[in-house]
Amino acid sequence: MIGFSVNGKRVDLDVDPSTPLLWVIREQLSLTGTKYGCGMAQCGACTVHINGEAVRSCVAPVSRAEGKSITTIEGLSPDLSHPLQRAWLEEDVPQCGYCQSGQLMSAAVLLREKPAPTDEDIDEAMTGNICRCGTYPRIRRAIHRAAEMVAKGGAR
Amino acid sequence: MKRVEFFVAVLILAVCAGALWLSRPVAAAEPPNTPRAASDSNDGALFTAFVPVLRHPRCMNCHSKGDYPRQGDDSHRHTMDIRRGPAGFGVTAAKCSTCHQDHNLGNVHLPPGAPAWHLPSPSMPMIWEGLTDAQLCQSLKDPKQNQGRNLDQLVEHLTEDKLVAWGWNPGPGRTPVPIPHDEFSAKVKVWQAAGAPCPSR
Repeated sequence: MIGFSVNGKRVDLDVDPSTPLLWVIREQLSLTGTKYGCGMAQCGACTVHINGEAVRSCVAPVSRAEGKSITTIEGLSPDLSHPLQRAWLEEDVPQCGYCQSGQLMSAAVLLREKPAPTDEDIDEAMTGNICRCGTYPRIRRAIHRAAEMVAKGGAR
Repeated sequence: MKRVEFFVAVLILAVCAGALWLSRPVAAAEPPNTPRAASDSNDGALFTAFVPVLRHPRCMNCHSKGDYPRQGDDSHRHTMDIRRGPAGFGVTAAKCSTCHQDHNLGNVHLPPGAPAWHLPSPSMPMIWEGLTDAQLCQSLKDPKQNQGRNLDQLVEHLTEDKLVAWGWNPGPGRTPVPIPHDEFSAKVKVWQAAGAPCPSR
């Protein structure tokens, strides 16, 4: 058995320790907001948080999650109220949307560590999250907008 | 007559024993703690004996110029513009541990891994690229350039650290460092026992 928490809820699963965390999240826990993209940590679509750090869940074995706290896009906020989610809606960021949960999870780590990121900070943080639709300019604007929300105290 | 034959036999035995002693493998015959004068180093030959490991891409890709890691046997810049970061562990949402595990993954082109996968910190980046053997040797021994390690700690780092040892087990699709690990460790310890002499240039 492997035990960890997902979005604040404790889970104990009888699963092969080498199973990719992404498989467990999607297949066992039915949290399908996290996407499978490349399967080799090249695109960022599968990004989740383990103890608050961005991790590519497609290459992380579920054993890495043992005893830790996992956050998926479903747990970023209960009601789309995270400043990044609000900014994403206001800037109308997604096109096809497939990569966006991974983009948001990476952006959340960036904002936590750098509440007022520069364009360079954003480029460095988001460099491993690929968007085939090319929404990068809107992603950048949305991150700046979310940072402003946080600075003005209008968001958690 | 028998006395002469006995004397000749003893002489031959002595010569053979001497020849065997002279042809012995240095690592096998010299215990690591045997003190030797630093000047008895054949101009740093004990150091240059294991330099091919240090200069191999498996080591140099994290000890090269620039504020970023490198990849491959051609030491190209790490894809995705990955950075060293404030502590050598990457930046914000693009840390080393975002993709690298504490072990290699099973297939070619998947991220390699070892415990504490990281670059040297920017405050002490331990850049070896462009150094002569003499400079490399001196920088390795200098606590101001080697994360504060004394010689014993340096040898322990070189011979036992799990991230360093990854160079011998880099996973599929990557060339391991050129000298077997036990042979490398023996050479490092012989160098240590000799007083860690450096080449003059």
